[in-house]
Amino acid sequence: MQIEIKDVTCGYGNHSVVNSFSTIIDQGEILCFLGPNGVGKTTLFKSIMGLLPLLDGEVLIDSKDSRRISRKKFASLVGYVPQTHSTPFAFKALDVVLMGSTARLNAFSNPSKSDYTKAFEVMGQLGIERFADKIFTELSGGERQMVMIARALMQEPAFIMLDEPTASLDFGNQAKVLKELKTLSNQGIGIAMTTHAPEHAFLCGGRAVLFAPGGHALSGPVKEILTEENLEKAYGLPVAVIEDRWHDRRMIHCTPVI
Amino acid sequence: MINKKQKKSLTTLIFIALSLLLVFSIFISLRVGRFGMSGKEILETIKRFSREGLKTGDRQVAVLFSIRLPRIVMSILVGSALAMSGAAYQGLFKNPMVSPDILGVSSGASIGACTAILFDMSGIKVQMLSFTFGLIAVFFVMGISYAVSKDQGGSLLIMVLAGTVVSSLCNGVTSLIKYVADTDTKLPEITYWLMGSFAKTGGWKNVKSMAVCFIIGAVVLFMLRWNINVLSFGEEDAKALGVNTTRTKILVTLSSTLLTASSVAMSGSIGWVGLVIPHICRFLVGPNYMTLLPCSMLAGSSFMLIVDTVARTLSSGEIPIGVITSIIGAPLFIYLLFKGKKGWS
Repeated sequence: MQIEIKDVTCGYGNHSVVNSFSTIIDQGEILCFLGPNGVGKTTLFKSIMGLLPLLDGEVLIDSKDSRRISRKKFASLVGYVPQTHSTPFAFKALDVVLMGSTARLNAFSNPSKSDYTKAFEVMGQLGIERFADKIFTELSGGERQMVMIARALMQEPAFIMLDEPTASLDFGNQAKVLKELKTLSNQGIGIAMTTHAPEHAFLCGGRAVLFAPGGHALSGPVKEILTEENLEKAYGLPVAVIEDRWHDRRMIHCTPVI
Repeated sequence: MINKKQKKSLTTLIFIALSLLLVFSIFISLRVGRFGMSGKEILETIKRFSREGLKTGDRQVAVLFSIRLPRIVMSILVGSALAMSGAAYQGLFKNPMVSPDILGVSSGASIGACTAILFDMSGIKVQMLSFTFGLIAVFFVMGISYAVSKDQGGSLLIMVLAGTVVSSLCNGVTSLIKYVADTDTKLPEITYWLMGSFAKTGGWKNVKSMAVCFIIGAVVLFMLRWNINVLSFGEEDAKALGVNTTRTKILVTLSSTLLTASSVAMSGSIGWVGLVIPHICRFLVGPNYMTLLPCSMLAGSSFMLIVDTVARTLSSGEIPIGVITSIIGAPLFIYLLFKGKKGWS
């Protein structure tokens, strides 16, 4: 199964941000979206999710037009971890994870015992079952992010789209989130995420999409796309991409030259 | 840190306590009043009633079954209707500060009910008229706040302001109705009714039409209570999680407005219940609508029954119930503001 983004133009109202963009998200791969602020990464994600109307083009999931797929069916195919998540109410983390089971329930029913079991399972998989009874809004940024990923996993989706999953996380938590995402992609889930750190794209491997100001986008294998030349074009300053060796692993660093 | 099992049994305990409180309040409310009865007399009266039914001439049976019981049932229905609709609106607008009063539903419904008094309508017609005007008011408030602050999906400030504007517009219309009303008969009736009271709602006929609206509204909210949880994370999250947000929002708005409007039609505008009771319940059982909604229902009914019993027994005349709920509700709310912002920050 794959998500096919075909000549998509998206934006708000008449104002388009991303113009005829195409790419494919495959199951079991990690696709990283990079580019400067305001270039339309979030807008594109919301449009793919059907939260914003497409201005042009189409999104095909398993060769089916996503606009013809019901919200319920869509939620069982694609999970979404938005950039900001807030609720004014003091829900328990377990309740938040359980909300991921909504798509499997009919409109008038409530989560069953097996949904609870599944929620604990998913939280265990991510190593966060100890948060189950804690108040979601009182968790730290990293813990909240894990809960949101657990909520997306509860949907049992084939794909998960994450909007800046590592933003505002500390060094260690960023790595933890990336590691989990890698594990998930190895289990066959297709992952699309936006990030501001080219290094994260290198760590994930897979493919990358790099937006430059003006909506022009490059896509392909990470190493071919995130070159010094392309990064400089996108971010408007020289960037050093350094290949290094640590014990017997090859690492790639990206540093802006200032 | 309370572990899961303890927490679960704590919730159960709270539900048992609230149910006992309700039963106890019903019993007290049956006893007290201008025509006091002892517990034994009540039991005997109930026995007589079950044997002979409503016999003319039996004063005790008449007081208990034609006056007190319908009034008790009515205040229970209105109390839980207001508390449930308040809780539902708060989830729908993902804001614990929202209430039927703030959204203009109460003032809208008041127009309908005042018109009904003016034209001597009764029963379900009054409720439908209140419902219609309440619905118009809430759609105006939602429309204005969404149009003004589209990007944020309707901000709280704009919504409160829009609610104030629409409420004041509705109050203007109500004043106009009062102005044209007969000063000897209709005007006092409208004025007294606007303060909120169960004094004029007696009779099983009204209880029945209230019960019909209550059951419709409550059943829909109960069935949708998991989806209200999801909606309180915002519309985008709810959509991404597979909720048909448009349908859910419409259903929740319709049933909450029906609950509020039919309450207003029966007993005037009784403020604060829809705001304060869900708040207290969130402190008791947490924000999950699976438990919050039944808790609001129970707590709201006990609260209203107790307040009404106080209103009819404290002085020789009746104290308007809206006065008491304001006196209790406003300070309680300020206290809640100070005590903890846990539930809503």
